[in-house]
Amino acid sequence: MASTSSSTAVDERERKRKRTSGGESPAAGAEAQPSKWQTRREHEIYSSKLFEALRLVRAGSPASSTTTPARSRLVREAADRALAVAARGRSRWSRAILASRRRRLQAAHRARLRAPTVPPSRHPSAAGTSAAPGKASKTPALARKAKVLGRLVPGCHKLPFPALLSEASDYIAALEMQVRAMTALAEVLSSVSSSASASASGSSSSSPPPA
Amino acid sequence: MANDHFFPGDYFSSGLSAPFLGASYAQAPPSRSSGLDAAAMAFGLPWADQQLPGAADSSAATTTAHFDSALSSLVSSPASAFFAHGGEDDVAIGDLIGRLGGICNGASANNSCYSTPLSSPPRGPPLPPAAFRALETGRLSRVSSSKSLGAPATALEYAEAEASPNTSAMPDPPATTKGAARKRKAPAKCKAKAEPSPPLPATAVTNAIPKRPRVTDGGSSDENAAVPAKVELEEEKPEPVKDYIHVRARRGQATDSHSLAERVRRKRISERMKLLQSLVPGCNKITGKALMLDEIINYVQSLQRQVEFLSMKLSTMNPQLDLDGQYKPSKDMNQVTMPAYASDEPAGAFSYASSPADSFAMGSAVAHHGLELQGTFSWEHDLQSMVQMGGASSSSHSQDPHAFYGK
Repeated sequence: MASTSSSTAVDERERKRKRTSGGESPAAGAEAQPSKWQTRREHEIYSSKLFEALRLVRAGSPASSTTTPARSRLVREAADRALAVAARGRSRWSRAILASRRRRLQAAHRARLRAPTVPPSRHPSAAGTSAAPGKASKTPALARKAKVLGRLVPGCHKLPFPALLSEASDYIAALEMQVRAMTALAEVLSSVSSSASASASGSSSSSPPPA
Repeated sequence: MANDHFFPGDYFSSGLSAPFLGASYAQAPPSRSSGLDAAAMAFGLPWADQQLPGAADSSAATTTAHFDSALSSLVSSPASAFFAHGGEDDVAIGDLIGRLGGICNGASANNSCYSTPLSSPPRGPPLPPAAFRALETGRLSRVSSSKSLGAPATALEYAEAEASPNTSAMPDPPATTKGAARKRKAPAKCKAKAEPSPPLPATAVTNAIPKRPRVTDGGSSDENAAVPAKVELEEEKPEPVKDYIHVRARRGQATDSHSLAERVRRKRISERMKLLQSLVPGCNKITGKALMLDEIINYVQSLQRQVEFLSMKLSTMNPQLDLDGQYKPSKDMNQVTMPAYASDEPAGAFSYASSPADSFAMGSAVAHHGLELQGTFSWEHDLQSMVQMGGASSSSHSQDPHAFYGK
């Protein structure tokens, strides 16, 4: 466990360093740059927000009241919301995530998610539905891929190509940070819980806390 | 010296300017007088061959001087003789263009600008024939009108009209003269820019040259007014070629803004694609927007899948978070905050690593919030045990947890 966690920490450190050096390219714009997601400060902010969100989820649904898939969905949405809040509303996808949570019902959101997720799997096969079957599908290939990408990034399905690319780069950086934070959290919790179980089994340390 | 190879003075003075002018057409111009063809064959090839070898030296000043002298000589003796002819319009035009083109070629070759982009000798001679053809389509009226003004004025105004910005200096209707204006401008730009920056006219010429075979008469939109923009196209050779294929309109203003906007848009897209390439791992070798988009889509999907998986993992671990949910976080948060953020021991303890970069964030956050979640003593025990396992300055930490759980 020590080796895995240390190696993971080392890997994450290296990746963060590498990403920081690579992400600081001058993509200046009005919105935040993707290199913002690679700073340690941002990571701390997101980790605390994530923890708060998880706590709320846990408090909102007591144990064994919700099934695991529903709970994982809740956890995932909480994590996405925390990520969107960490973005401070400077990116379109973060605003879309927060707006969707606020306005739409979860069921409606899920129903809307069902429809767009099906076509991307069909896209490689059914190329003639949208474009003319006779003409060369080389030209719409980029447009099709852009549409798929627009569906993947929340709230960017009708965006022009350059804006879509910048949103996608910001979203990718944010997703990477989210994955790192959740991995670290899961690791910490698992290590703590395993040591807690070990210590609980090993010694009788279940004395009540000093009031 | 190399100058002699390019502009042999004896050629000028010997009155062989007529064959010399024709000599710039290494390829036989279509439907021209046969005498010129023969002369072209005789003088064109050796003259064209001598272009590249002499590319190493010869300053632009001498080139310009030669150009001026050649132009004056052309204007004075043979041009006037040619212009005096009745039906020799196109021949005169062709000679003038060939002259300008040839001198421009010589200038560019002198400054060794040919070698880098093109590096093919036959590029030089095609310039005048194409220019000739383009000229004969649209410029006959102009030459005939200028013929009345006089031969010297014609040649000089010809060159100077192109030296000035095209949009302001072209009195002709833009529709008919786009093709011709493009050709004329190239050699004139050679002349205009020979002194300040030798590579520029060469780049203009070389930019013009590969496009001529592709674009017959109409697609010269870029070159008409966007010469500085065209010059910067030199770095990206395939891109202006694509511009020429797509942009076919003949109106200068519209296509200029379109092509410029296209170029700006393309540059913006390529910037963003480069940024994405740095973000997505393993995309350094991939060129092309479609493949890059594929990789980006795959990467986003994999990241989202990872988030799903981790959220499922965290949801299963969530019950473990409140083993003992009786801890009141409010008053102890402040105490927790300072030590947790001040030292990186908790992070070091949690990650078992000496220098926690991002585990620090996790550890501090967990220490910040997690003390309330975990069973207090179990947490404290874990913390202490981990600190002892971490080894570094465990003493400071053995005190802190007690402070956390203090009265």
